[in-house]
This record gives sequence, C-alpha cells and structure tokens, in this order.
Amino acid sequence: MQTQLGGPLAPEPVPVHFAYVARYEYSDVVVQNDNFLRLSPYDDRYQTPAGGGSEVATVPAGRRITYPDRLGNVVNRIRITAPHRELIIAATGRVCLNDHAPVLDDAPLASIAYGLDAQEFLTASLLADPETVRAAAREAVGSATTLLETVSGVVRWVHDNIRYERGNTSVNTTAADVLQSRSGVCQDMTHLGLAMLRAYGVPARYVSGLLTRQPGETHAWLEFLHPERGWLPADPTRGIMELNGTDYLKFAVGRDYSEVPPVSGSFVSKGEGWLNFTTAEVFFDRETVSVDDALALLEGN
Amino acid sequence: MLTDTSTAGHPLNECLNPDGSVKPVYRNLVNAIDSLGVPELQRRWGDANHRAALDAFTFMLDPREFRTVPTDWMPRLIPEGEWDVISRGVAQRLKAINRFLLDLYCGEQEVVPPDVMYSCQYFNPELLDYRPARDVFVHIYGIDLVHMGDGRYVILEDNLRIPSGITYQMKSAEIGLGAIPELAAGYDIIPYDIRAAYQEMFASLCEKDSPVCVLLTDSKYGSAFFEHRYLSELFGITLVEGSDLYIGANGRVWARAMGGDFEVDLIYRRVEDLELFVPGLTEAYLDHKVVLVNAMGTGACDDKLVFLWVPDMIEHYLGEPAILDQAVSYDLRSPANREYVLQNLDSLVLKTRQGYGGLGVFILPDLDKGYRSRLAQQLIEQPQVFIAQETLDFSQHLVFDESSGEFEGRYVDLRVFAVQNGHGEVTVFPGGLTRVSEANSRVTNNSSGGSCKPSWVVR
Amino acid sequence: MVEPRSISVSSDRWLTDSRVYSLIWLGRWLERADNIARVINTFARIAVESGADMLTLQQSLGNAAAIRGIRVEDAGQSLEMLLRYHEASSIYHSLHTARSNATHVGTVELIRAISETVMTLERDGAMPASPLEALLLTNEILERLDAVYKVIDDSWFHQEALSEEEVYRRFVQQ
Repeated sequence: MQTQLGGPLAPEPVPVHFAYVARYEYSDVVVQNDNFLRLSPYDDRYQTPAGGGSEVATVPAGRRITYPDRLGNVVNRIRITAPHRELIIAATGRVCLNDHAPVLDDAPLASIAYGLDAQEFLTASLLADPETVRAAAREAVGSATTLLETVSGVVRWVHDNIRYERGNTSVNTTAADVLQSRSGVCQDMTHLGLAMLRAYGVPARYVSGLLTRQPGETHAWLEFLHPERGWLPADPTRGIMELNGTDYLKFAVGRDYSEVPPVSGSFVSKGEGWLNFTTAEVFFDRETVSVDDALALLEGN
Repeated sequence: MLTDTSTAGHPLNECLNPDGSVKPVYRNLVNAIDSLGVPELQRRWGDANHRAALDAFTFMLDPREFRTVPTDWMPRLIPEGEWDVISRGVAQRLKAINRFLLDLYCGEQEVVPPDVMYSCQYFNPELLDYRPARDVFVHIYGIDLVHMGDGRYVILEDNLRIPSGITYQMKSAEIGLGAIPELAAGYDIIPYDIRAAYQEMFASLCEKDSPVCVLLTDSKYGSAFFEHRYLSELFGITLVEGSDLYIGANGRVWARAMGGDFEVDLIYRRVEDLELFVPGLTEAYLDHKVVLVNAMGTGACDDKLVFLWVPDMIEHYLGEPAILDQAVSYDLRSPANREYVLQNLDSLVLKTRQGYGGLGVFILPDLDKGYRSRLAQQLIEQPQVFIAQETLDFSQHLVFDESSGEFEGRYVDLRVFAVQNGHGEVTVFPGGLTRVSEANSRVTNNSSGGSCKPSWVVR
Repeated sequence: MVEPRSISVSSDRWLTDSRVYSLIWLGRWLERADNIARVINTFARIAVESGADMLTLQQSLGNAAAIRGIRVEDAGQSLEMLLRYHEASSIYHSLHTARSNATHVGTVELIRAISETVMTLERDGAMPASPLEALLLTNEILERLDAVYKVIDDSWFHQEALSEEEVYRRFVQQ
C-alpha cells in the first residue's frame, strides 16, 4: 500500500504567533530542576514552523538542549541549578497554519491492513487502554463499517455523552475513568476517543496544542491513521472531524498525554511543588513575539 | 567430600565438570579442602566470620542491625589467560565510554540516537562544553560480567556513577587467606595495589602538588559505610560528610575542622545528589575549583538503553571490535522488537532504564504467570521505560553450608573494577568481586540479599 | 615517563566537625556501657559475697520497672534487658552504637577492641544464670573496655591536643 501524504490544501497559509507561560511554586528551596518542554510547533503539512521567534526560556535560567524525539516532536530540555522557590517557563513561536483539505476517501475498515509501525497506536497506552472501553465503543460505532464512519461515530459519541467539566480529573485519569464518570476536560475526552478507536482497530494518537481562537490553556485532540492520507485530525471535545486548520496549533503527538505533556520533569527539593498559573495567547496580527511578551502574560496574575 | 556432592548437576559449574570431576585449575584447592575435612572447615569458616565481625566488615541495610557481609570463603579461581581477556576488554570499554562522554558533552556525538541520549535522566545539559580535569570522566569503573563457560565472559551492566564493592574484593580475600591459608597452597595469586593506583589517579588530576583529597560519604549509617571508611583509611584521605563541606568566599570547597578549616582540591564522592549534600558544589565544580571523582555526567552511560550502543562506541572511537560480548538486548522503541519481546516473554529479562543495585530487574522465566502478564501489560503501555535482554544461563560455583557441612551450587557473577588516571592509563584490578545469588535465584546483588566470594587470578 | 606525584596524606590531621560529633557520641556511648557494667558488677559482687541468689540482685537494683523503657512484664528479665536487649539502656546496644561512631573516627584497632567487647554478649549462654556468672561477665566486659581505652590512648587520640572548649563549641554548632 502506497502511503500518499498531502492533498489539495486551502490556498492561503495563515501566519500566527503564540506565547505560553507557566509559573510553578515550591514549598521549599529547589536546588535542581530538570524539565522537558514540548512547546515548539510541530512540523507537518498542516503547519510550518517559521524560524526567528521560536524560543523557550526559564526564570531562573538553565542550560538547554534541543532534540527531536522519535515521533518528531521538538523537545527542549532545560536544567536549572540556581536555587529557587518559583520557576517560570515561557515559550513563543511563529507558525504558518494551513487549512485542512476535506477528506473524501473512505474505505471499509476490514479492508485496511496497517503496518507494524502503526501497532503501538493500536495497543494500550498508560491512559488509553482499548480493552476497558469496548462496550461503549460498540455503542458509539453502531453499524458503521468504514474508517471515516467509525471515527465520526466515536467523536460524536464522546461529545454527546461526556460532560465537559473541570476539576474532576487529573493528569492520571484514564479513558476507563472518564467512561465511568462521564465527565472531563479535552484531554480526558481525547483519551476516551483514542481508546475507542483502538478498540476498533483504528490507529490513533494524542495531539497536544492550542486552539488559536480560544487560547488561554492548552488543548488536546486526536489523530487517526488514514491508509492513504496519513494522520488526520479529529476533535472529540468539540465533536468535529472536519477541522478548520487555522483553528489548531499543534505542539506534539504521542500515544497519550503521559508521553507528551507540555511540561514534564523532576526537581530536587525537600518541599513540594505545584503549578500556580498558566496561560497562552495567540496573535494573528503581530510582526514579532518575544519571551517578554510571554512573561507579560503573568502581569496581574 | 566436596566431589561427593550432587552439585555437579549444573552444566556450568566453575569448579566441577558435568561428570563430577574437578577442573584442572581447582585441583589443588579441592585437595586442600578435602584434607582439612568438614569439622576443621567449619571451624575455619567460623574463624573467618569472627574476623569479619571484629573488623565490622559490614553491608548494613538497617543501621540498627549489625550485619557482616555474608561471604563464602572458598575462593573462585580465574586462570591468568582468561583474566587477560577480561582485563583487556574492560580497559577497552572504559576508554571508549570515556571518549564518548567527552564527545557527548564537549563535541558532537553521533553514536547514540538523540532521543535516547537526551531523554536519559542522567544526561546533564549543564555540563555541555565543560571539560573535566585531564578529560577524564570515568575514573572508577565497575562492570558486571557473567561466565558462560570456556572462559567466555559476557557483560550485563556498566556502573559508572559511584561503583561500589572494591573493598569487598580486597577484604574477603584478606580475611579468607588469613583464616584458611592452606587454600592458597600451590597457587601463585596475582597481587594488586589499589592504594598506589588510586593515589596516583588522584594526584594526576590536580594541578598542584600534594593536593588535599577527601572522601565524601552519605552517612556513617549508610549501607556502604564500611567501604568508605576502609578506603579513606587506606588512601590516607579525610572522610567527610556533606555537612563538613561548604563553598568559601573564594569560590573553593572548604572543610570545617578543628584547628582551622581547610581547602579541598579533590572530592572522591560516594554520593549521587551532590547539590543536596553540599549546596553550591556544582558551581564550584563548573568553575574548575574542585575535581570530582567520578566526574559529573557519567550516569548518561549507566542508562540501560544507552548500554546497547557501547559496542558501537568501541568501533567508532577505537576502530576495533569489542573484546567482550554483552548480553543481547532489545531496544523497545522498535515495533519489531516489542513484538518479539511480547512473543518471548518466558525467556527474557526486563530491566528498567534507570534501575540500579538489582532494582528494576525482572527475570521473566523465574516469575509466576500473573506477575509476568502484569509486566507485559506495563511493557505495552510504557515500552520506553524498559529494555529486554536474553536470559543467560551463566555459571554456578560451590558454596559451603556451615551447618550441614555440605557444598551446594549457586549462580555467581563477577564485578570487575578499574581506574583510569589523568594520563589516560587504565588499571584493572585482578580478581574482582564474585557475587553469589541466593538459592534458586539468578539475582546476584548485595542490595538484593546475595553474598560474596573471594576471587583470585592465578598463574 | 610521567613524573610520579603524591597526594597530601592527612587523615589524622583533619578532625572535621562531623568526626568531632561522632567522637563525642563515641565517648558518651562507651561511658554508658561502662556505667551499666559497673552497676551490675557491684551488685553482683555484693550478692556473691553475701551468698544471696539472683532474686536479691534484682531486688537490689530496685524497682526494675521504673528503669526508663522497661515494661513491668519484663521486670523478671531486667538483668538481661540491661545487658543485652534494651534499645537505649543496655550494654550491648550502647556498645553497638559506640562502634558505629568508632567506624567514623577510629582506626581498625579501635573497632576491633569494641567488637571484642560486643562479642562477650553474643556468645551462646552469655546471659548469666547466677550472681557469680553476672560478676564474671561484667568483669570481662570491664576488662575489654579497659582495652578499648588503651587503644584510644595509644592511637591518634592523645597526639591531638584537644581543647575541651573547642570540642564543645563544635558540638553545640552541630
């Protein structure tokens, strides 16, 4: 099977800038803080990172190394050894967003043979285990037999049956937990969608990023593997498959959230740490964005 | 009496052939044991244990409980010819790893894939562009080997951060020879001088003459404190705790002491989180105000996944093939490898990337089915946490059961120690530390409850 | 050929703060072991000379249950508790802790001398069954302790002119 990536795209790429900031507090002095940041634009056919202006920084400053992980995410690892009780992480970037071409090629699921590389997106990951959601997946998919119908059924079911509610779930909430509580945030709905698609043999992965027209916090959606068109997006939280590409700014992909959180890491301290504040902003009309713009988002907070 | 035992059953016994006959190198030793006889052997074992207790030769997992290092005093014998291969293989590996670390931090490394290398917990971005004294990262190296028979040794693991155990190699041989000198009859045991090698290594790393060196211990209640005390006394260097050290106004490391604080040139550190023990030490180190042995950053090659690329490091940096083989290992980032491992769970060992001291090692054939399937599930969910290795059926040795007066077979490994000084010279200390598994286990680790055995290289 | 060089060999010259701390506790625990041994030794001697039995010894010790940490139901074994089993108030545990401190400040000779003393209490049948056995055991412990003090005198300790003031100043800082 020839995998043909790309198709006709909307003619006008939209350049945008983004700024992200997070502040962490600690109950005692931290002597080492080692963080992995996945806050750089992903490079694919829907978006093209534009150089000059893609930056990550911390206060206090640390030493950084930038590398691609095995799924093509850009990782910035920053290690801070200046003693601190507060850590600020800021990221900015410029990216050209392309609209998504409509997906027309559907195929019966039974006729699709995915390769070995797709296997890891079919099996259980830490937070999205297909075994735990099979019954609900049957209900969601119903009599659908094709790839696009299956994905559409899952996306709509999650949107219609899971109540968007903050505060009841955490970074450790699994797809099974979400099914149980019938509520959660974008990350939880995405995990449930992933598990259901995997249960039907559709390779699916987690996407972390921003909604350009509703920034403020990071968003999560999913991608499923189309045998000819490659990875295609769908958003269970909003219940849609035909995404407007300029609405979404993608940072990283993984098997679920646990592999690609925007910030992860460890610190050495006698105390505890917590996220005190985080926000993000997207600018459609700016010529440049700097780390100072990201830090300015902290003002008043 | 030794040959009467049924322990010859294991096909890879170091001492006995499968038919129960004694291997040539062990003949003198077995004769000596036979002529001492069981009651005398029990008495001598008691004497050796008594000497160990007198000297507080301990590995204490609980500081309230006095526990000497469990030792089987019958030595393991390594013929000089076999040792020569081990020794060259260890030195080769140490040099290649050191070259790699230098490239990793101060140049461009192309051997290990970036996502493997830079995601490693012990890779330290802060050390980029920092050259340690005399370009030596790995001053003290501990390598775990198993014997596959016929003099073929296979590497299981590298220990590059704070390798421990050389004292057990020395002290077990010293006590054993003291209590049962008859066992050495007919053997020419190759000697070594770790005092000279370490002192020379310390001196070669410092700019000035007669540098002041200290050994930094975690605590007198730590499990390896015997070793810290023994080595500091042997080398004539001061034993310090973290609270003794501070960074002075001149940016250098000072030790608090009666009769006046003093400046420290080199820290032989036996702790991992240096900054927790001595705040500001990292900065002093990066300013070249103090030498650390081992250097910071060596843990990058302690990672069990990075281990897979060490043979490539040897080829790349030394332009020669690896002298010693290492256990066949699987990178579980590859879908094909994951598939293979899931199909062959009952013949593999799973290790977590960051484990040490026998922690995070799962010998799947030795586990019950429920445990195995839970691990399989974890492997599917988080393959990046693990590597898999082929299970090796390595050698056994005989250990004397003092109460029954019989010998029985137990699995043994071999941890070999080497030092590298500032002139790039490597010394591999003949013998190493033989660690003995508990009955019915293949895990040979002191932290996991195993015992040890003196090991002699003999001519 | 590289010129061989040497390091500053200095372990005795540098009495670091943490070693001073261990040194003070070494002294305190040895003294505690010594004190308990002398008390038992004296009462055992009185019992032997007056021809009394073990009960007298226990009575002589007073209300054993009042000794800190010894439970009333253990009173019958108060001698064993004081010799061997009590965590803070036995000779055995005092010596064990003294040895831990000695591993930090002492030479191997000092560790051996303390170990020899510890071992008198680890032998099979070490627990005395009569005042005479208690007397002999504590005599031996006190002799072994004298050997410990001699090692301290003979080794590095007397070479260093320790000002008591300085020792305690450092101690208070810890």
